[in-house]
Amino acid sequence: MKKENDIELLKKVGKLDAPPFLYTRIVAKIETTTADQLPLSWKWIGGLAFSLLFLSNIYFTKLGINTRTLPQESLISTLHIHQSNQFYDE
Amino acid sequence: MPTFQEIYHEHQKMVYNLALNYLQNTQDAEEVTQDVFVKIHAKLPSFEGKSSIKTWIYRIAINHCLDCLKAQKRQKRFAIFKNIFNTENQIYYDPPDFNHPGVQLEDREALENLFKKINELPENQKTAVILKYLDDLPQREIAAIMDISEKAVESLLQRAKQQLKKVKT
Repeated sequence: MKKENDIELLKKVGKLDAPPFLYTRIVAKIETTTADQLPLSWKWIGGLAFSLLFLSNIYFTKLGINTRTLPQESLISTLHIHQSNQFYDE
Repeated sequence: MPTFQEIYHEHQKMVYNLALNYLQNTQDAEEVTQDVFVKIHAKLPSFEGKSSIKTWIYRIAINHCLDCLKAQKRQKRFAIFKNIFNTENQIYYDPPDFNHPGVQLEDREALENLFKKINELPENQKTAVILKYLDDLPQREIAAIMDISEKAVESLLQRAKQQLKKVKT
């Protein structure tokens, strides 16, 4: 039982070489991953397009808010609306 | 700067054995070794040389082994839930067998039990034990790899030994 847990027993574990086919597999995987990757220029174009879309979205949203917050009085005068609750002019 | 091929031939044994010692399964070790070298290939151009290439490779390999173990644990946990609601008597998780080709037949049982106990240690204690007793590295090098002081390594090893003794009694 004592032998079973003796940490020094770990020194008996031998060292092995990696299987010979592993290098070929690694090279093949590297080739497929690099082939799947987008070129850097495409990544930049994508990023630029996204940020342009995002900024224009913010700009137009702000513009919309500004037009919506027109002063109440100017809106009333443009539409010729009565400001009182009375229906008839006396 | 050495080429990728040179790096592979110089360090393949170290990475493969480290993966074997963490995972105790040849299939998983091969997969981890493959992923580690793919990562090394991708990161080699950005390697700044702040540490030695061996230390750098050790760090990548250790992190990858620990990630693999975490993924196995997650899979195990998920399988428990799946098995609860399982109606078709299908087993969703088949734990990897102890399959360490570096272990001699006469020591197999004892070492399998010892590895089981090492697997229960916290991550940093397990790493310290593997680097010290299986990779036979000096404490200074272990400290550099784990990015801690030599004293901290010493204390990790002491605690690991105590923990293993506790399990024994």
